[in-house]
Amino acid sequence: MDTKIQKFNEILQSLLLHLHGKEKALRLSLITFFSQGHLLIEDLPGLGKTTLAVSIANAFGLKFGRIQCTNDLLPSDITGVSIYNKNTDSFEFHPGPIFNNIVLVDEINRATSKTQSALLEAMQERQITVEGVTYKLEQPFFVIATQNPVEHHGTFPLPKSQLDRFMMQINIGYPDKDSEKRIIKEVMSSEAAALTERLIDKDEVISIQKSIRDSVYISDNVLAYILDVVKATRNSKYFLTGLSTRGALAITETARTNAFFSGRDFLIPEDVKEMAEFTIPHRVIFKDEYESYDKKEIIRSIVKEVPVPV
Amino acid sequence: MKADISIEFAVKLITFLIGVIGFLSVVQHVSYLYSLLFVSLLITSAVFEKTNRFIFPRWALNSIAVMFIIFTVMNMNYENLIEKMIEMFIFLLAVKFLEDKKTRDHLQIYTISVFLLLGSALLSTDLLFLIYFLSLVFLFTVAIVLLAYLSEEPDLRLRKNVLFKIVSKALLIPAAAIPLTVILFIILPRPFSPLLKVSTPGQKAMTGFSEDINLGMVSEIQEDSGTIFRVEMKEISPAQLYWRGIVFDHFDGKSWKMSDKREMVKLGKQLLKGERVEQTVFLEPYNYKYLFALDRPVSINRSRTSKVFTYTLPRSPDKRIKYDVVSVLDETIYEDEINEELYLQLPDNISKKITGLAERLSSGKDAQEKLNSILGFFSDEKFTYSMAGLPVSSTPLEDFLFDLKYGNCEYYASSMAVLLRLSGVPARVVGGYKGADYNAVGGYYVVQQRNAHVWVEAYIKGKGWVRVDPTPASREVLIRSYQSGLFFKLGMALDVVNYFWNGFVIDYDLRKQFTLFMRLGQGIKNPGLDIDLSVGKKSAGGYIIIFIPVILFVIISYRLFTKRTPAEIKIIRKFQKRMRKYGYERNRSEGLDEFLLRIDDEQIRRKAAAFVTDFDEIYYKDQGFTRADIKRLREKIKAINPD
Repeated sequence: MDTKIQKFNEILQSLLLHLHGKEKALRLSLITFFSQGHLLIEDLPGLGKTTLAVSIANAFGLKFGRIQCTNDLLPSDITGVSIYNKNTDSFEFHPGPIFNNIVLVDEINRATSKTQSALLEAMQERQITVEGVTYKLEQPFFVIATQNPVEHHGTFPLPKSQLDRFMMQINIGYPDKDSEKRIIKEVMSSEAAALTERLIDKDEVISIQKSIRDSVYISDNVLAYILDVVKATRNSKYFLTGLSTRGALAITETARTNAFFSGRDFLIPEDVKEMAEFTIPHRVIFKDEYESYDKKEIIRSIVKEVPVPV
Repeated sequence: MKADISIEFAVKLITFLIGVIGFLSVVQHVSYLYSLLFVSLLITSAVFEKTNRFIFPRWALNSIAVMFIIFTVMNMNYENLIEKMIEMFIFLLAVKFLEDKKTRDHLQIYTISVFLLLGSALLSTDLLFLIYFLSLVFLFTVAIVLLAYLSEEPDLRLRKNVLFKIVSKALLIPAAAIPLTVILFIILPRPFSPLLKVSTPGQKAMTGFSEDINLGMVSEIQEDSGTIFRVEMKEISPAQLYWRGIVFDHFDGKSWKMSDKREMVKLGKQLLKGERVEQTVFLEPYNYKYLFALDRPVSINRSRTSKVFTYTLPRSPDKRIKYDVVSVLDETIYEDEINEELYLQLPDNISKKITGLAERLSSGKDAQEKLNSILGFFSDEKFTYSMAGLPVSSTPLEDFLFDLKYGNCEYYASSMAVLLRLSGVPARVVGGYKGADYNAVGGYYVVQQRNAHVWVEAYIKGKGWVRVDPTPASREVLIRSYQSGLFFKLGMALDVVNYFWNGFVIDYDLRKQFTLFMRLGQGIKNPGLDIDLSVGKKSAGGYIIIFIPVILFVIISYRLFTKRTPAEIKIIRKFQKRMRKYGYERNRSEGLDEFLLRIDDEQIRRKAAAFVTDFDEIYYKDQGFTRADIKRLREKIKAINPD
């Protein structure tokens, strides 16, 4: 276990060389990745969303695919198509970009609903059915989607029911002054990220994911605490709807990974608390009057009301 | 499977038990006929159950029952109301058992049993009631639970351990109610006098003390071990245990009676010479109205009529009564002037033999010498004590004095008094009890019917009335031999329990309740004060006997029914207390690690972290805290300090 944690920290440190000032976002991305979930990054353009995704892909030595969403993007542009081959007199399936380990879906809200749902379905099922044939997606499979929160012209906002498919939603935020200075100095940050040396291979990734699942213990009282938090969101005055069971599962899984990377083989309430503000806001529907508030702040205030087991 | 028990069998068994307990609770109040009837019908019912053949049709049983009810009601009157009701219920119960029982029939049996128990409460209030009551309550609860199973699935069979589980869970219901019942019993407002006190004329026919002495009527006297009264007081010398009840002054040759000519005694100061003894007497219901007290009683709170130091009630007590007495232990009663004619009265037909004897014993002597001489006669002439073969004749005294030379105290006292009167010394016969057994645990004397006794008082000018007891000491030996056996000791032990049951549960009334609360109040204000909850005076020990089990029970059930604070909570509280000392208050929703982050003192944080890491590791991995863990964690808490 210790070596695995070491590995995690190595990756984190190494990636940080290229992603100045994005430690928090990077850590959360890796937690989502090792929890076998998908990540939604919501932030303004130009803050390094793409760089983050590319860097992770490179560091893990995993196949990376990128989908740039536009409003004329078709589902088949993601999944792939079957093309008639004259020579063999048959249809051959040409897999789309989704057949990669790490898929960056840029500006997901620019794609039409139909395309979005094709994508989200693939994320959930981890398989794709094209013309009656089912294709398994790669293992591990990790989708990083980005969306631009400000510009609404020609966008198709993700339906709340579908946002649930993302384990976490994070922001990257503006870098601090020093970090920004370094980013500008290195100008070609994107290329630099692409050059990130490979630190870990596919099998190791799967092995770490497995040991998180197997070795981190969740005691009944922490589970009860999680359910208390979930219940608190359901009873909250800020929301129209509370957390779903899938949401509860997301909190548990991410908290588990968080515990693992903190060097513990058991969950403590802090793991849950840390993850709450990244796993909850996109899954609940805020009442109109609270729509403009800082959603993380609201979540924190709700969690703060829930007593810990001891 | 063999280990299975059918639910039907279980219910039937419990129903039988309930019926039997209902019957037992009243068995002492019904005639043998009914007992026999009930037992035989119950056995018949058992046979029916066993063979599963119920030969009597329901309509026939019902009509018999209805006829019996009509018959009973017709025979009822005010006097025998309860007895008749009980007989009726016993009959109905027996009839119910003969039927092929459905759920409803079981419930009816339970109800009838409860009625029987209530009936028994009206007739007697002894400790057995409590036992029957508790058994019924527990069985009833179990039966109801099992009946619910039975009505849902009649063919259900249960494993022994499952059945045991159901039963034990069901038992928790009434068990949980007991502490509350005790509290309600103590605090609920009470009427001024106990409610459950119904007069039972049949119950007080006890032998022993009687209002007159009839010689020559019976040849044999049966001893009765029934308790006549208990006296709460300190222990005194056995020789002084004369319990005065009645004084006889008129003799007709065969029997002693009390004439109406006596005057009220005027108490002179010179009377109060001996030791003062205060007593609280609990007198059982009996046929006469005399109150008993240590000789000589100078005041009794219950009665103002004092004739020759005897006290009477307006009528014979039909329930246990209590009174306080002050006695002065003095063998003589000084009196200046007496009605000599009254105390020298004798019938005309006294035989020459007796007068001759009196003449021989007393001629030429003064009063005191005459007394000594006559008393000496009874011991010299080898008189012996006996309760059997008493002279049955028209001249009992003669037979006793000259032929048989044995008899019971009545013969001794009568002949002594007659001899005294014949020789010119005024004398009277005093009836009451002699001797008693001291129950050290309860701090009281128990006086039994077999202690009944008569003795003589002789008047000597200048001295007053002197107590003389001519009955030989062999009487004491006889009584004592009864009272040293194992059964007697057991009986005494039981008596204590019964005594406090009566004193504390049956006689618990508004006054006692009030006293209890007053004392408790004082005790709270003034913790040094001994809380004395006595029935009379010195029986705090007895209350402890009752209260300790109750308190223990309350504590145990509290332990059972409330969760104890778990060790981890305790240790965390300790940790938080320690941290508070250094100004760090932990929030209820704050994780321990989170809390640590807030601590700015490096040393404290480091030491607190050592505790938290250790604690988290055990707590959040559900490993359970061992003693060693707790000890180690405590040390870690202790180690937390700024340097």
